[in-house]
Amino acid sequence: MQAKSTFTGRPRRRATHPWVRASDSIARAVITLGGIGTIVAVLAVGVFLIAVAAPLFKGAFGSLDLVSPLTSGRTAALGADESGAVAWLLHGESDVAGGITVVGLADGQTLLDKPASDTGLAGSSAVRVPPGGMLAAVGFADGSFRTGRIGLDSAYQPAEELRPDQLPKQVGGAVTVDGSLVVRLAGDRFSRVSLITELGPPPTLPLGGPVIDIDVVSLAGGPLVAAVDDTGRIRVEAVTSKRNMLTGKMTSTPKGVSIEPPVGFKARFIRTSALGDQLFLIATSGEAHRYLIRDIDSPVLMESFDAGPGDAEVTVVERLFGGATLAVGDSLGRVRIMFATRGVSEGGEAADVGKGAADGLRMAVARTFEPRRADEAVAITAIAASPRSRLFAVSDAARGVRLLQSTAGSDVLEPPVARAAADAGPSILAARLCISSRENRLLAIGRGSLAVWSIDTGYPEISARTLLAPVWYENYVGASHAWETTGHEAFESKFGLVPLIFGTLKATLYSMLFATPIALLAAIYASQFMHARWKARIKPTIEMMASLPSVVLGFMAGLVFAPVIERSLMPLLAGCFLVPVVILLSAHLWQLLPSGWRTRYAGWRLAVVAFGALPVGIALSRTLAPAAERFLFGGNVTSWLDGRGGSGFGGWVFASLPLAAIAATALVGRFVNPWLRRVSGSWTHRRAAAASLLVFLCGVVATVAFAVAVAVLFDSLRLDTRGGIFGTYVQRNALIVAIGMSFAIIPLIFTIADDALSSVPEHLRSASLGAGATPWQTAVRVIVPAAASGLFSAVMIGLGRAVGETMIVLMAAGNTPLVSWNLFNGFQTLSAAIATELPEAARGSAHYRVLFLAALTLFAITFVVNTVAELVRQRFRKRAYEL
Amino acid sequence: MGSGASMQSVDRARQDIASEAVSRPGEPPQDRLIAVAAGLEVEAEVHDGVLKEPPVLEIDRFNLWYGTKQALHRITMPIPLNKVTALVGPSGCGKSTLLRSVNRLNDLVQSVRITGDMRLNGDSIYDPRMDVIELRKRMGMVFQKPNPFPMSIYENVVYSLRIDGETSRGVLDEVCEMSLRGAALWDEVKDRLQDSALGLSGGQQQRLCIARAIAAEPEVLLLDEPCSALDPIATGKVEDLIQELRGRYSVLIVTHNMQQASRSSDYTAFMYLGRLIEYGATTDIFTKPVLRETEAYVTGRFG
Repeated sequence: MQAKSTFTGRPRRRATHPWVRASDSIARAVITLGGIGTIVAVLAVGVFLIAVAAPLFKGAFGSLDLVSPLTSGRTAALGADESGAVAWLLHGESDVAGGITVVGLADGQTLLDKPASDTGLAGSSAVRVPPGGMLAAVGFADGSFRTGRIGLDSAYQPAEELRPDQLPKQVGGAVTVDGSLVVRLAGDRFSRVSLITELGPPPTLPLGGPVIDIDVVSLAGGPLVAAVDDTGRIRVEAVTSKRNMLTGKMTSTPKGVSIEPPVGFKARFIRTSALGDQLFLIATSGEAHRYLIRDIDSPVLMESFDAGPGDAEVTVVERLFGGATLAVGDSLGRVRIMFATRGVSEGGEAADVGKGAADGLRMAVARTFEPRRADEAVAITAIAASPRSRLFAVSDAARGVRLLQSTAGSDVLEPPVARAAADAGPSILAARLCISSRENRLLAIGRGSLAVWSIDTGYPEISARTLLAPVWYENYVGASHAWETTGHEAFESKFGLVPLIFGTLKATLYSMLFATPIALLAAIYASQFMHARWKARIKPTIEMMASLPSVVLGFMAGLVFAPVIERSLMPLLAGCFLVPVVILLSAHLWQLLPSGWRTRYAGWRLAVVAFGALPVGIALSRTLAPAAERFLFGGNVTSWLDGRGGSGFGGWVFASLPLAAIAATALVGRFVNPWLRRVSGSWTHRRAAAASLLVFLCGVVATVAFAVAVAVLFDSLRLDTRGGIFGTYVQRNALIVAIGMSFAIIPLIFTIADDALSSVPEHLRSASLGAGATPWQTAVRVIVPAAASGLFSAVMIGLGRAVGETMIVLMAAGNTPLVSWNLFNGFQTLSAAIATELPEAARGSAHYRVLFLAALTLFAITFVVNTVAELVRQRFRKRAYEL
Repeated sequence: MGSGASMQSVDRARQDIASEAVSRPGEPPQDRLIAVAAGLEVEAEVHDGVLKEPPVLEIDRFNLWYGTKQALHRITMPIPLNKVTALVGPSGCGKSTLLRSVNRLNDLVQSVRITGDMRLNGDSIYDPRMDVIELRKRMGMVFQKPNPFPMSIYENVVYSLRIDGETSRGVLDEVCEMSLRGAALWDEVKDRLQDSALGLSGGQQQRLCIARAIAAEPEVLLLDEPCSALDPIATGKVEDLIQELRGRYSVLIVTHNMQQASRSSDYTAFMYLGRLIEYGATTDIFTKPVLRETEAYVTGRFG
């Protein structure tokens, strides 16, 4: 064997050490695990979001539990207990009329029977028990009427107090014990259900004939009842309570008023609003009148409207949950949803049935539920409102029962019908419907039978349409996008995602419009012009800005900038144009300096701009602001924005100035500068600079003149920017958000853009400079195109940040979910809505799930933005990769 | 700005220091070179023939420092009009620095300090009143590595006209064709003028850069090792091109390749460690140099 020659005299061990191999495989395993784990975690978040949001779109479900024959004839009223286990029926016909029977819904067995003699309801001609309570009003054939309580009262029943044989065996089962019922609930709990029938005192003045319809609402002082008799006379009675401030004693005074209906009008239906301030009288013909009864002593006829379309007859009128909306069923199978809206809707839609009244309201038909098929245009026989949502059940003479939702305007469910019930024929005209308190049971009564369904309604108020399309909400002027999720108990939640998506886009757009030019120009300056020593200090400083917590930025924007900008809005607007003009002017004047000075003080140019032109521009803006405000905005820009005073002139001037400036720059660059270059070949620098200054000044004058001309033109056409990009000034608005957000975005865009620009190979820069290009020409023509991919990434990363930013918009945007481009108006973003509302949304509620859907939407937006960005970036990169 | 360039200059300075420290055993004694390495002043040997030519560019006692490190020492040399002048010398001898000083690209390096002057057709280059942009428009430069801009072939060629604001399509087309023909590239690219210049081969790219340089109608063409990144075939084409430019343009070319210098230049200057050692007609430098050191270098005995 030959002696080995070595370079260093050290033998090298060639076998890889087991420890190295081991750490290699451990590292590989950990890295693989980490990578897969990350992907799984991201996917899991997505899956979780989808899993929470998906149930919103699952359909409603219903199954027929029971069809039980009834022998008692017409049923006057129907109700169920809180758990949906037992139901009560008030008989309206034959010898049992006025008696109440309680039926177990599990098997249809009669559990209790209370004859008319015990209920005090003998001789009743109209009974109304609004859903969700026991408050009742009963009208009698003799013209009197009473309020009271009718229904099933549930109370917790400890099992120990009962013998085992007194406990029902199955969930939902009921047993009669000592004149009341024991109902078995899920989870071995029991409730004691007793039938209540109490009637209050008679009215101060009864009606003359049999009461044919009656309505009751509960007000703070006591119930308000309204009744109509067969001659069309109307009586409204209420109990008003007053507390004596000294003794604390309550005194209740019954009050009443008789209303003389218009001549020839005979009301068949009478309904009040839940607040007891409106009274609706509706005749079978559809003729209807709305009274204001806020002051019960002096009811005022507000308007007359047509509740029944064309030749159809009104067959049923029901007040839906919330109390402001009427569902009117007619003889052609249609159900119309109507309420009083404020003001006049634009365009005067045919749906408005009222003429408008002194209280500023008028009745409007928000939507009409048509019968499923045109050939099934048979009369609506009953409508029952859900006691907890804007769901309602409708039955018609042919097809049986449907569940509808008034907000969404959707057909929720048509529960399966037993043949016996479906074939009941005309007799079902007498139907009664009831939706149980928990929306878990639906009851229907025809002449012959009681049908019971178990229902699961899902989230009927949510559909792709209500989330994305304009919806006509209660009391709104017309269909609109709205997001409004919290209010009183009977509040109609408005789950339109459009305002939030719009807010997100608005925040992003205005922030990017504000931040991108600043950041990119700063990056170009820093990478191409700034002295390396300065850059070494300034870049880290700007990067530190990126690490400012966004809550601090939000605080600054919302609480520090907002009031300042509100106070000095006009100087700010003026400065937007004056400061650049003054800076450009100073650059032109600089060129007029003797050439020796120019070269000697070249390093001070920036200082001159920063400490000379900028303060001068700001001072000028402040000085000229009041004059501009008088000239353009009639003296006060805030009230001008509010639409008070002034013409559209000022807004158009401001809106068209940037465009005019761009147009002027383009024209000068295209036509004037080449000509100037040709003729100025032999001129001295100073002469050329003077000519250029002259061109600049002419350009400024032309820009202003053009803007004024545009403004005069558009103003004379009666167009106004108010309502578009300008409008009412709100202290926290898109401008504030743009400024606040720019603190977060600019450092991001700046630093990435600067890296991209700095990494353009030096030899390209040298080549361009070597060819005699100025640094600016080099930057614009060579460096920026070469770095386009990186610059685009920078902008997109900024965009991603702006889309998802939460804290700044939360604190500075005012959180008013409006759909308006107005720069001076607030908005709410998806992220801000999620942040504010998720903690208070009940788990599993529609609100909760819609917020998750909002999160999913936000995710989708950022996903699309990032994907598009990446695709575009790849294109750019393909173009520049060979550098 | 320019951090890359300053790094380069630091590297270059380091190389200079390293080359000073290396002793070369076994080589014939080279007094001047040792003297230069020791930092002594050495008078350049400039042949009379050079001085008789009308100069386009006069370099006059030019010193240059990168920070505290002096990279060029009292360079005084005229560059003859309409001739090809080659700068040769070992790595780090300051050839490229000198070339980049001519069109003041070294201004971009922030630690650079100079004394002395250069005159282009009689105009002082380092006069504070001299507009550097205007100056660079009078020179065309081609770099070591082909550096076409990331735009079309056409736009690359007419770049200098674009920055001058020329918009006439006719003028641009004509200049483009003439320049590409001048750079012997026309036939290869005439059908794809609107394609990206980055799709060309290395040799084509370098000729494109030459076309771009001559499109600007420069008074001097500065070539900084134009063939060092090219294969022999591409090198041959560029050399042919330099041959064609000979007599019509004043060309100053930096090269490592002795054959290239001997084949394509009229005059050759030999530099070492920032100093001009010998400068004369190419035939004289390569066949009968005055100094032994020059002979040793051009015959490949060191460097």
